[in-house]
Amino acid sequence: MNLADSAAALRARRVSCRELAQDALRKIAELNGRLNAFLTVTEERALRQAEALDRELAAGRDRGRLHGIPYALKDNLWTKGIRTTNGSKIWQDHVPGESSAAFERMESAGAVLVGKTNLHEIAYGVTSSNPHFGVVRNPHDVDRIPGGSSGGSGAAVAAGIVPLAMGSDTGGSIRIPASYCGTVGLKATYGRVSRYGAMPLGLSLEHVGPLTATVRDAAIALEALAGYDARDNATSHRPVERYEPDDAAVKGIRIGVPENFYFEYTQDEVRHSVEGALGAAETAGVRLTPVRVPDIEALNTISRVVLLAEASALYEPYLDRRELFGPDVLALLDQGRFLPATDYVNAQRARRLAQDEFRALFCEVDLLATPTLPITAPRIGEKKVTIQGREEDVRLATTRFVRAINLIGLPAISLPCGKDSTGLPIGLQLIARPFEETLLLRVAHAVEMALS
Amino acid sequence: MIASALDLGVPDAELERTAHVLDALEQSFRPLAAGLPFAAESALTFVAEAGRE
Repeated sequence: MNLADSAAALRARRVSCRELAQDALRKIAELNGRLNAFLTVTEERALRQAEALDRELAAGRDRGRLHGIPYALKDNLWTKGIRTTNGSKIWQDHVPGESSAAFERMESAGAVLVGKTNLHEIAYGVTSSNPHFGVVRNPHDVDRIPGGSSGGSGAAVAAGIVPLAMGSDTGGSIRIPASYCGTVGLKATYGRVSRYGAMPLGLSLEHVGPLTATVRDAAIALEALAGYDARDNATSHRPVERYEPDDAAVKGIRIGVPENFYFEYTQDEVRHSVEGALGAAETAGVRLTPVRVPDIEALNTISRVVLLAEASALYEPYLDRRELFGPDVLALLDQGRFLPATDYVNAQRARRLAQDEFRALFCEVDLLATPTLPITAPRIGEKKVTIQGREEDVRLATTRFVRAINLIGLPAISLPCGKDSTGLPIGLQLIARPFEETLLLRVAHAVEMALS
Repeated sequence: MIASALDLGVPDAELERTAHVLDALEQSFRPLAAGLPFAAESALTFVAEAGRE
């Protein structure tokens, strides 16, 4: 059952908060041996919390649509009194004394935490094949990666264990597992959701957001998560809107379809599926407009420079103990240490100009539509993929269409738009102007409806 | 770079791999940096009045 349906069933007294929590916990027990999506299960706490929430509902206190909904948090989000590993040997036994803003807001909305999800080590990678806590597996094919870094969250939602799981996204880490696992993944505008208590990786790039089964569910989660937080200087004072999509018409909304970059070196089945979704969107009333996007390859290079420098700066104090890190993460951290400081400053200067280019582009269109990823989920352990005759590193191929959006801080969503011939999910990415999440979610919902 | 790598304790084999990756990244990045207008501002601008409220 998705989040909105569970919320409706609770209010119709067809199910209790305790029964929803028990169901999620039963599924974890049944499936986690196969998927390795959860690092910590908070069974006792969840059942206690669910019973208290049942008593609240019986007494007429309803906290809203998340009341009694079981959910999971990526294990890089602090949970006071509950282990938070960041997928790292450094914090393998770390129990934080404070909670992340995401956890606090979910708690106050009445959502029931059932566990913490596995991730790529320190959220720095796309496979979620964690050297310390084991490989996370894709529920659609357990020999394949779920994507990352929020791989456990993607797998948990895709397997139907929970209707909602939180992730974080520094270079695509919410949208990537959403696309590979066939869920919805939402990264709101930089500064819309507080990052407080999210263990940092790339300070100027990272976002916290939900993975869900439907666009409506992502909107419900965002309403609870969004808003100013004095502990995160990047958060905005803009009022939180009502993001839940209504059935308002999308007629005339201009969707830019890139003529350059986004459909190049993309698997044929991915391209066909995304084109099919855009056709459905057009039938629903949107206007498709061909556009030329800024040099995304250049933005990806700039983004790599920024992230390498920011991540290595943060991890410098731990790098004299190389045995703490897996080889892929250590390689990236080494790279960041040897980048000249001038490169970092120039990357941030180029970033400002890129922001201006996107602002100009969004005068022509209201949204952009692209494939989320050029490929479907690679096999576990696969290092290279061949796309239209060109061999490419799995990490670079996986981040190619998503990471530039973190550099610009734009809101973006990935939603399922089909499957390849082997049954692996394909994602459509929609991108909007800063703080236009309401429009983004309305159009995403319309596409989802058109495809169903 | 080699001297600083020795100070940082990066083993030779890894250093070589790192240098190879960074060379490729630099080749893509340097022309972009060289093309920046002289007065281009950073996306990270210090604001004196900003801070925790």
